[in-house]
Amino acid sequence: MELLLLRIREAYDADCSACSLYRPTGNSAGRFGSGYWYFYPHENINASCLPSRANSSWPDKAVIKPPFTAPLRAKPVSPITIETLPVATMRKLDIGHYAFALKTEVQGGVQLSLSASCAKFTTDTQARVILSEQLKQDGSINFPMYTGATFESNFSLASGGAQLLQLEHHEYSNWRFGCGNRRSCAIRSLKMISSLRQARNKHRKR
Amino acid sequence: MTDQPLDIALDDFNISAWVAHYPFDTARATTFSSSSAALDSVWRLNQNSVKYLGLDMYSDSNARQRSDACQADATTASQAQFATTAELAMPRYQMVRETHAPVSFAMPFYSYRY
Repeated sequence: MELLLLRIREAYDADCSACSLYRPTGNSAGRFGSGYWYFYPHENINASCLPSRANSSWPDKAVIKPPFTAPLRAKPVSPITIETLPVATMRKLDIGHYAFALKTEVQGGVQLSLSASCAKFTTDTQARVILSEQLKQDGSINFPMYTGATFESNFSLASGGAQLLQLEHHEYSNWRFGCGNRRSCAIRSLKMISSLRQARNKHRKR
Repeated sequence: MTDQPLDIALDDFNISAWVAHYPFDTARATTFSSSSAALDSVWRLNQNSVKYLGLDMYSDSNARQRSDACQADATTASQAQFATTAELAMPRYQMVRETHAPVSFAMPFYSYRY
């Protein structure tokens, strides 16, 4: 009985069967302005088209097909990979002012490692890092980006002392180009433009 | 604290990047070529977005909405991932996650076509 009810519903739902069963004519559309705003057809239900046990065109039993020769297995979700990439290019633009670029766009953060042998790093030293996905036509870093995002961070450093100090972003950003220095990043300076052009041209040659 | 730049050398520090990404199945990667160089560039741009930023597309970016139940963007990301690498495992995982998400955003139902 359940199978029969299922097929009756199928008869209503199936587009082709609906022509003989459903037989809509006209409609009771309401008109609003220059267009119709709803349609409701007149239904002429023909019950003789419904499946029944007396109708030989509808099998009485469902056809059970053999199982797949090879069991179906869902592809597992691969784990997210975390890796460290070196910067492809880094240039000194000015005193304490560096620009860097990765080979490709990434989802990630900056890792800043300070040499233990450098005694210049003290607790009042700060590093400002800005990141961006694109360069402008003139080769300068596009910051802030067109999306309005401003990937900007300030790392407060500790003294080098006897240990290597490494700072890194807590969360990822989408970026490829960046620069960092202690003062405001002169992103429009000719030195920056020159450096990033070099980085971009270097990548294009690969 | 002084505002003067610190004169440090390249040997005094190192910059690298930690990167998070979902594996891109290059063995099943879709290829595309046409008579239009511009169209080919558009294809590479979009395929690279899937390749390098695939995770980010599911959440409408970590820098913007940051939602792990952003169904509208997940639908787009899933279709892009399927088109470029026949990837279905990640979309399936996302669907399971969103099914159990306490708050859903945007469309109430999925519109996956596969």
